[in-house]
Amino acid sequence: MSLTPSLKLLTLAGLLSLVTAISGCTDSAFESSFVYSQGTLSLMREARDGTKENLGVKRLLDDRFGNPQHLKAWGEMPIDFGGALTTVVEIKELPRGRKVIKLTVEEGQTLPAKAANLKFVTGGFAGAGLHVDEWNSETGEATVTASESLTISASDICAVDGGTVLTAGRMLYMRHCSHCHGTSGDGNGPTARYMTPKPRDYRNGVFKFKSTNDMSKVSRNDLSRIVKYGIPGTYMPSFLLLKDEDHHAIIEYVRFLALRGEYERKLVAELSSDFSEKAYKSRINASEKKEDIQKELEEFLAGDLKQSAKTLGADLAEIWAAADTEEAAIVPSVAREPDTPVSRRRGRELFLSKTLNCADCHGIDGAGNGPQTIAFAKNPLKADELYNEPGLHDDWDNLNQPRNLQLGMYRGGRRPIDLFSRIYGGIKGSAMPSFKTTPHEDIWHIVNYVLSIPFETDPGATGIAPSVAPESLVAPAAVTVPAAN
Amino acid sequence: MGIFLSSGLQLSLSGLNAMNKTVSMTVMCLLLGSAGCSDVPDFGGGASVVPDVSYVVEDATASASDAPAVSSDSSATISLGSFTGKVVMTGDVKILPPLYKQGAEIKDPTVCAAVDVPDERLVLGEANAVRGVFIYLNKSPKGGKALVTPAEPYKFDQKNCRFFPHCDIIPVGQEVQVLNDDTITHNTHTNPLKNPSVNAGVPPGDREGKLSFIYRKTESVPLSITCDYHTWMKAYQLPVDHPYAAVTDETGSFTIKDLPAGKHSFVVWHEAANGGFVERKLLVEILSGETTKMQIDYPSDRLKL
Repeated sequence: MSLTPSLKLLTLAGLLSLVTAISGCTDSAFESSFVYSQGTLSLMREARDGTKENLGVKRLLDDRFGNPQHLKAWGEMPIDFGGALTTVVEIKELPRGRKVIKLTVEEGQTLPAKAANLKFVTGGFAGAGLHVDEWNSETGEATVTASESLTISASDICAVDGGTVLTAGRMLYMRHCSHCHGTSGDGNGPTARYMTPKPRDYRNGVFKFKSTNDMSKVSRNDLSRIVKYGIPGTYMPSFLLLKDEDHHAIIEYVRFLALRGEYERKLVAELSSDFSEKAYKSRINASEKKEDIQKELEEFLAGDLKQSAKTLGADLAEIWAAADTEEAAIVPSVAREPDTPVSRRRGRELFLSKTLNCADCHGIDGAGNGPQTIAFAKNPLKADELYNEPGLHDDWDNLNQPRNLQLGMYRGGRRPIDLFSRIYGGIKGSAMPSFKTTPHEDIWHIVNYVLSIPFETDPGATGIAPSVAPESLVAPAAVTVPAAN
Repeated sequence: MGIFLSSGLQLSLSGLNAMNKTVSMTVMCLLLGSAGCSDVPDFGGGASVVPDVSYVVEDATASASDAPAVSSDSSATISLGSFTGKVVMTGDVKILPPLYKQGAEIKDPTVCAAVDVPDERLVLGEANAVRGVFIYLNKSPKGGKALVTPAEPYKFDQKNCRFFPHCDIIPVGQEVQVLNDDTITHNTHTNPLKNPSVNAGVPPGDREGKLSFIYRKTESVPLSITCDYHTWMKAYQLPVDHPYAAVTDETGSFTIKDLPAGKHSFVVWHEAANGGFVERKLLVEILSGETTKMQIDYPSDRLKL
């Protein structure tokens, strides 16, 4: 005899409440975490987790960036965490337990227009907060009510409405971005495995589509364009319908994740050649003693790494902040060449020429099928191992074939200046090099030609037939596979 | 939680007829509500948990005291010595054939195969002396001399699809100018760990070095440089911030001068060695005013070719 529906339901109810009881309803049951990179996990345990006396990579990282529930705003980083970081100038007592705390910001920064709460970062009141009754944005005077005597003194650092942007960014990121880009920004969210191209792993600190010089980081404007308009030809959609302040919060949070990842990479780079598990094994094989290696690591953690933890942060802050300056921006020295048949022809000449040899990757007709796409390449960062499949690869080890320019789909944007930037600055993280030594007029001719490719009735109809392509552009009859190492 | 919920729903739906569906859904919702989790609208990953933010500021006073000791320039009071020697391959020695012979059918043959292209992974001189071995200290020793960064740029050339020099030490801060003596374009793609990566085209016949870059940081091992047009092209450079590094020449010889007297641990690195290291710690004692001579053996079973 089968159970009646009501009885089934009752059983189910029992089961459900049991599940609830087990999992609990506290936040902790739903906590997420930032993952550590493969680099960190490949280190010796003591380098990863630290020792009794010294911090390892994980703690150095977590102490500065926290986890998704308890974020850390590292003052060193060029990120708008929201609010302002201020310094206490003086404290005045008013009647009925009211106090006025006068605050100041560093030169070049401004006090916020509104202020609701203060949170102390250093001094005797560190970690505690106060509600602001009245705020004078001119003088930086915050009136607070506190019956007890406060252990605040001049030169204490205090955040005014701190972290509001970071909090908003985290919430928005988790809702809109994390399913592809992952909680940690590692490009490995649950949907990532079904995608080609893969979502960006921010942790290299490298972004492909930017309007800054080849050696500069991505600017906030570049990130803003990507969030607002998406990346054509990929799964990255447009988020134009979000509010401006939401875009800002998301961009700052993405920068936070990118900086966290890059900082982790830099810490690992300090340790990996001597203190990875692999290095440890090879050192033991070379008859070094376990105790000696551990003692050396202990000294390294106490001295060099502790020092590097600070300087690396300052270095990163400098290069990321520089990306938003005028010096970093790509600015053509001449206006765009008029898009004439002569200009397109010159562009095609350059495209095929030995000077630039665009066709080596993009193919004689721009179809993205040049000889390089069928050669096996070696991975320079993995001891020259051959990649599994022929073609070009990016820094993330994904197959990254050159763009088929006949489709008229440009991931970094279709404005002429976007194409100029791709050629002038290259595409960071990919094999596309920067052609910054090329005269700007010539780059514009190539832009004119490339923009005309999708509309050519006959490929190469600009006057130069593919048959005159230089010898180097003719694909070899057989693909020769280099011998594996 | 979400998984439990959906499977629960499926269970109940399959066991019920269509008439009862709406009822069961309502009951399920009620059940959930009564389970006490109604204030958690989304399940999974803590996405909806509002984070708290705490500020971290570096302790300014600590960083001042932690600063590395500035190497003193009182060289008069510190006794110095030199380290010189030769790297020699021992065991079964293999002479590598040229990578490509003259006239080989490779890419851009008129340029790249105009001459024999040697396999530069292992170049042996007389008596099995090894060229291109890096010998260096990881950091400047106490009492070490400061690095003098040359004002004139370093020239890094390319001819017949080969980089010249194949291996070298580059002082941090010195401008590296990339030249091209070929009639075709190359690109210079660096693969560093600590410095930002360079990837830029070098126009044919550029003798001025329009492309230039600077290493701002030291690297713990030499970094490789490739050309993506001609993927067999390879060079290695080691940026250093002290004068205690050398690369062996055709005769396998090297000399490092002005080392403070005492024991030093040198890194011996070669591109063809398995894992890169010939020796991770070559302990050498330097005596005041003297030259320590040493033959460094490089066993051929360390090779990875």
